[in-house]
Amino acid sequence: MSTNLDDELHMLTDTVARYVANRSDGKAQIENGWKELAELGWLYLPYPEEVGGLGLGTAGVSAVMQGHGRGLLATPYLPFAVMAGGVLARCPRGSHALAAVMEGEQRVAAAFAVGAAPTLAAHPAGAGWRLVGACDHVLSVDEADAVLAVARIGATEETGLFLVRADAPGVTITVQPLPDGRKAGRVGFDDVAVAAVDRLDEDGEAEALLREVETEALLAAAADNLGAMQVLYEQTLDYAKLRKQFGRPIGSFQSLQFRLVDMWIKLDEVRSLVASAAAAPDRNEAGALAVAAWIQSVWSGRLIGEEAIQIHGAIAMTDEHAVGRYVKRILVNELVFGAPERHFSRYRSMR
Amino acid sequence: MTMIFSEEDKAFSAEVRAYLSDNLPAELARKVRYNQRLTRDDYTSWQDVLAARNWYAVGWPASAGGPGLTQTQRYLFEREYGALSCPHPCQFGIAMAGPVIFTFGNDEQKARFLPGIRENKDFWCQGYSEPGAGSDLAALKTTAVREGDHYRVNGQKIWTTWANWADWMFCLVKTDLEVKPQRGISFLLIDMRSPGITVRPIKTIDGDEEFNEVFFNDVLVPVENRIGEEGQGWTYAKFLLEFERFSMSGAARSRRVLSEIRADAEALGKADDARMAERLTRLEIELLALEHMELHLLARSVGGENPGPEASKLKIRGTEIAQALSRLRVDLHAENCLVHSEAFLDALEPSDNPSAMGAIATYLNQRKLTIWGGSNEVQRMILAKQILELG
Ligand SMILES: Cc1cc2nc3c(=O)[nH]c(=O)nc-3n(C[C@H](O)[C@H](O)[C@H](O)COP(=O)(O)OP(=O)(O)OC[C@H]3O[C@@H](n4cnc5c(N)ncnc54)[C@H](O)[C@@H]3O)c2cc1C
Repeated sequence: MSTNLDDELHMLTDTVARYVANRSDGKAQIENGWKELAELGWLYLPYPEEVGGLGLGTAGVSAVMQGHGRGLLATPYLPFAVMAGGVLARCPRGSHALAAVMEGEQRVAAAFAVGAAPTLAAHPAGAGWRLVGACDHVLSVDEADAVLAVARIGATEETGLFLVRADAPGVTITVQPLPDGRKAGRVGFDDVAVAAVDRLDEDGEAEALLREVETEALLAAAADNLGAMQVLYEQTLDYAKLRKQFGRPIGSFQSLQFRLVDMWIKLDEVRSLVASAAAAPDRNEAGALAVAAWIQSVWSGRLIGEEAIQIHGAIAMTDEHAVGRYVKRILVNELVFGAPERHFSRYRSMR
Repeated sequence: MTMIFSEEDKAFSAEVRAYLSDNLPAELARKVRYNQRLTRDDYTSWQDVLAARNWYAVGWPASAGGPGLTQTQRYLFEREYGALSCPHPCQFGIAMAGPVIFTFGNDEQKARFLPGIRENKDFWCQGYSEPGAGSDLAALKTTAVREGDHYRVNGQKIWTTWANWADWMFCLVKTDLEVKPQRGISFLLIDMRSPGITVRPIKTIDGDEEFNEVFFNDVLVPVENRIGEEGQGWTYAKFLLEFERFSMSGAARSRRVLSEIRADAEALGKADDARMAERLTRLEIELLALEHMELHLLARSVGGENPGPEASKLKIRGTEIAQALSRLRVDLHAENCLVHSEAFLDALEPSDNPSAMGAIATYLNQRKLTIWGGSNEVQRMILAKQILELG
């Protein structure tokens, strides 16, 4: 890694920390931040310089995503910039749309679930295609101008990548609030006509390309979890020092001390995997580390979340308290990006 | 050990099963089955059904007007009850206020309060916890100062489940600030309509309004509402904690939840998935171990004596298993749990999966089980000290 890049990452980490500290009250989710992210230049940073990006790659994305988790940002950086943008950046036919994405002028949602088979079908129709089916739990689709749809091609085993305007005839969007306050939705495609130029991939390349993007998405989701569980750990530690029962801080009871130590270790496992995945020079190794980081972040996140509630006692069972919001964030991430078991074979194939 | 139940006991079981299943409204059962929020009316109308057979105060001795069941019959009742999708009856009157009153109250208090509890006329809440007094209950600060025939009560309770629905609260207050904390506590019954009481609901993590803050501002409570001696409230509260723990394994309910999850897994074609099968089997065996711990403890206390501090083990394992089940339900339905709506049973599409819809709220809500009723840490301290005799 060049020192130059190191410097840039340091600066980015500082900017993210400042942004979150200024915008967040540590409790409520931060809404409507898309313009700000664009102004901060964060929409440029994941992509290589050849396609007009800043080339900060997964390391840059991890820094931004940790801030998302820490500040409970509702901005769809992960689905829009990392997933949809990640696909556009890898397809020559997506360069136009990518430029608009980087400028913050176009928002593209990701209508595919990581690690799951496509639920849409694309049928050849004249020179173009017709899309049929529905995709569930598409994050922040209510804010999107377009969707990046992944579909099976006809009756084949092949996959195609399509860029579809959100207001195209036949597209229906049903918004569903998620349990953590973010939004997702079902995108239905009722025989939606898509022009040939809006199929982004060349025959046969979509699967490998998607795998790369999905792996980056998993690392980004792990970083989001990391930011959230860092807050859970810090708040629980602080609370254990402050809350007195039986005339002493509850953190002075050895049984709780041991559990706080375990939370700290579980947190550090994720931190280590996320950092190594973002820094690994070898692509395959980076991929295996990214998937491992996601899986470990789910395991650690469950433990840290449940322990955070238990050690806080009744106060963490309230809707007002921050702990619940972070616990829900991590849980929703897991359900959207897939439980560990869904990704075991991906991990095994990469290591 | 196999429990051999007499013919009489078996007939009792059958009678319970028949009465409950004949009288449980389908709509209510569906709400319970799919973890929907219950209203006060859902609870009380069902408790009326129980009270009609004198099975609301099911654990009470005949001397207190209860059905006077044997320990074995109680166990069988719980088993039959838990097998159906019946609402969990509100415990504060029947399992807490009632037993304290019939054990420590005077005749006048028994005549005044027990029928209302037994017959489901009065709704009760428990005013123990305060902002500074959770696990360390003796640190409570709400004061009751004697003024002639009354106590003047000032202070605050918190986490008071259903205070917003309650007619009465049984409450621990400080009547003497000079002595050792445990010695200065008294046990008062407070009419929730008394002037000076403010109840403020607190929303829970799953969006429900289950618990409250209760403020007392110069609330006058007649001295005749004090149970037992002044300064002896701690003894009564401790008596209750053990009473409570015995009913806290929730094994029967967990068994029902396990069978619901298994049925859902089968319906989704996931029951044979190796990991799912392993987790279901594991939880089933853990639950079996819990049930048999409970049976053995029961067999030893058939003489009628209080199971004592050992019952803490049932609270610990019962709550851990209930939480594991709530997690398993989330894992089974995975991303389908994300579809979530407030009044979902009314707004169901045929393709919707109602079991998935309440799963996250239930998982979050069930975190309370290891916190309340004496946290599991506190239960472990009790076992360490009183059973293992570790200092
Ligand atoms: C949903 C819900 C409903 C409730 N309803 C009622 C109600 O109706 N009436 C009522 O009076 N109360 C009610 N409670 C309050 C409940 O009884 C308290 O939450 C409980 O006593 C724990 O107190 P706390 O929450 O203040 O936690 P704390 O006592 O502050 O404990 C925080 C953490 O420290 C741990 N801890 C404390 N001391 C020790 C120690 N010595 N060693 C090791 N660990 C320790 C605890 O186990 C816990 O994990 C309710 C709570 C909940 C969650």
